[in-house]
Amino acid sequence: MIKSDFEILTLETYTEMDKYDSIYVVFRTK
Amino acid sequence: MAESYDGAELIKILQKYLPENSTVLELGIGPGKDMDILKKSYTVTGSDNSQIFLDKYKEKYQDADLLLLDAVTLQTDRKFDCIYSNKVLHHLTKEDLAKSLQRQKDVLNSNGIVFHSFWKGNKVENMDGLLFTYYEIEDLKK
Repeated sequence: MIKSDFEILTLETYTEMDKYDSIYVVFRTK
Repeated sequence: MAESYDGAELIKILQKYLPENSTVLELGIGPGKDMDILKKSYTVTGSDNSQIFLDKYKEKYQDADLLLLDAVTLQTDRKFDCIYSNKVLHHLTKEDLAKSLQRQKDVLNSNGIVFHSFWKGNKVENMDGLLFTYYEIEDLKK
């Protein structure tokens, strides 16, 4: 989905309000 | 698992990749909490699919640059250095997310940066008529 058109710079999991499992992703156009 | 983050923490991470004063299109501003933070470092255009949210934000900031946009079609001729959303694109189906990403590529300047956050998991829920699509790291790496 992302890989074909973008370069992934970072992709990490985190928690929101100490309880909600979440993911953030930063990517750049190739 | 990283520590607990809110929008302010996520924007600190964005700042590692996006120089100050860059142009940012935020998708789904809602009440505008993240947009308020982004504006401290960037030239921000806020968007939402709800005119109500845009009108409310405009009441607070009359000079706000706002666009009524569908996050899938992104019907604008403008281009930006960055597209940002925080827990917005989970309201799209996986198919529509793929279409949105294709369109985001067109709306970005060269070397454009994209930042999105999602709920983590592998389920799809419908709550009060709103879709919630969860993603695992492996889904997003594809």
